[in-house]
Amino acid sequence: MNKFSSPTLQKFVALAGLFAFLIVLPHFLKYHHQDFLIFLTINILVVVSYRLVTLTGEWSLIHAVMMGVGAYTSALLSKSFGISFWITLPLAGVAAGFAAALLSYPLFRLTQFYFLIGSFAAGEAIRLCWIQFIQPFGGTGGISAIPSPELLDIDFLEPIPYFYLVLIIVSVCVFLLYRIEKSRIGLTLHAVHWKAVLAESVGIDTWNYRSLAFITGSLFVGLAGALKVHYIGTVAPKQFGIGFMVFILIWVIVGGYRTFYGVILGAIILSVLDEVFRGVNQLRPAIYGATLILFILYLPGGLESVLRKIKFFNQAKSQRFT
Amino acid sequence: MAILDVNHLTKRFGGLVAVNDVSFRVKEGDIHGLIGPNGAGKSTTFKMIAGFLSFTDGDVLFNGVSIRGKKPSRIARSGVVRTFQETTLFQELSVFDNVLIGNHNQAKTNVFSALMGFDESKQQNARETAREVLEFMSLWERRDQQASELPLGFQRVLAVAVALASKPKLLLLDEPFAGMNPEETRHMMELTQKVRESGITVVLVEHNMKAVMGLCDRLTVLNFGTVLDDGTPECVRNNPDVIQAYLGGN
Repeated sequence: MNKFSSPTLQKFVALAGLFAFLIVLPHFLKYHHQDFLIFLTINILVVVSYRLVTLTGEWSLIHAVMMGVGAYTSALLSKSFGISFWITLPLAGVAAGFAAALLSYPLFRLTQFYFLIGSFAAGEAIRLCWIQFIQPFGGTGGISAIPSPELLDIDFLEPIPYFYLVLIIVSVCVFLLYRIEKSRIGLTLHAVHWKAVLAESVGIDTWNYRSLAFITGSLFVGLAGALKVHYIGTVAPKQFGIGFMVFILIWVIVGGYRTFYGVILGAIILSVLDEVFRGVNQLRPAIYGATLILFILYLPGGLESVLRKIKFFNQAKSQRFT
Repeated sequence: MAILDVNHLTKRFGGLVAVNDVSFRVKEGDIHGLIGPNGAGKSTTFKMIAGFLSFTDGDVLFNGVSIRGKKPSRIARSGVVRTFQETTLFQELSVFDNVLIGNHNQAKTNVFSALMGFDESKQQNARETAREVLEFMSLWERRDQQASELPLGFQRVLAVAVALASKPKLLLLDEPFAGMNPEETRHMMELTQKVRESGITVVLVEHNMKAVMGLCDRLTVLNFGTVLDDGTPECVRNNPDVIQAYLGGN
């Protein structure tokens, strides 16, 4: 097949256009909308890394806490030891991945519902440690005055430079996660999800692949955690509670978990919706809940399934007329 | 030289003894049948050989090495691969992708190589093997079809192709002819014969006596969890105990 066939070119142009748009976008936004854009970009990394975990069919409730593991690691290292952000960022990912590796021993003895509850319990245990061990985690108040990144003369306290930093790191991470999903590993994870016994019978160690997905997903969300706290400057246990975890689940379900772009779509649309309703603060949880219920009832495939239907319809139409 | 040596194998489920002190040997290059009436312990024995069920007592040696306590995936990598009674396939994937997944040992990679594309030649080889297996099983023309769209007979053939893609030395077929019409049965028998000729030892559990008698070099008959007879199809067919076990009476 020709490597530079027109669909590839189209994709490349679309991607270039998207990045041009994202580079220009923050300059037209108000200050707090620029903040919002940063958090949204980080959240995209959160859902995309969560997607890797769900590919094996095991939905965990510990992803938000893994983000916290990365966040705390980076915050502590940079504040207490004065280590540069550029070193603590990868270490945040390593720490979250390492925590996931340890947890995969007890957790992957469980499957399905039991895994869900087990992952929730393990996550809460970690989160309660942050609250109980005031030294070094700072209790409920957490850690504040976390230094921001330093590079040349760029002021990363300003939203626009920080947005560019986040955009670069998140884009690279999302690209890597996409590569993993499209590689042989993605195919194997699919096999583990849909017919674990058959996978096992041809030599696929299902336990290994479940933990591989869990560790890799945690590693990337650890990076997301570090990116977040170095911008807001504080880290606290409540940022990574079950509340945030539920948001991640809603993004994934509303967006559609069958495709890579579905979850991104979910995160973007729901976050924007949430931002629009900022004025009626009391109603926001209700709106989120109602959206979730409506989607489960009427569009269980998520937003992505609508796009697919449109595409299918257009194809059928063009076939009829040619 | 026995490729598979089942030694005093026993399985108890609580008080029930499903398999009691079963011993038999499978010669390399043979098609070996495991037959017996319903509830004789064939499937239980089968699952234990493939590692899907632990055993209470005894041992199974593959090429002289015990499989006790090993995961099914590990046993599969050492060369013992099973198929399933029902059509267990990746229904939503294409025929080609099914076989590609079966070829895990050749294609497995790590995250780093996958990201950098270092495993490309490996994946190319895996696709090549998948093609060879599909051609061998006469499924190449159907490679792009979704597995669930195949007729039952072809789904069974595909299941064997998935197992073959993992390059087994010993292939365990669990009721390969169940629910097939005579035409499909004949086709499957030819393929099984072909698999054996390619150097793979085959053990099969089957109820279809005509197929078993026509195909197997050696048979082990189980009844109530114990070995009733072991020998060539002609010997077994004429053993009064076997006839009694199948037909009842006294």
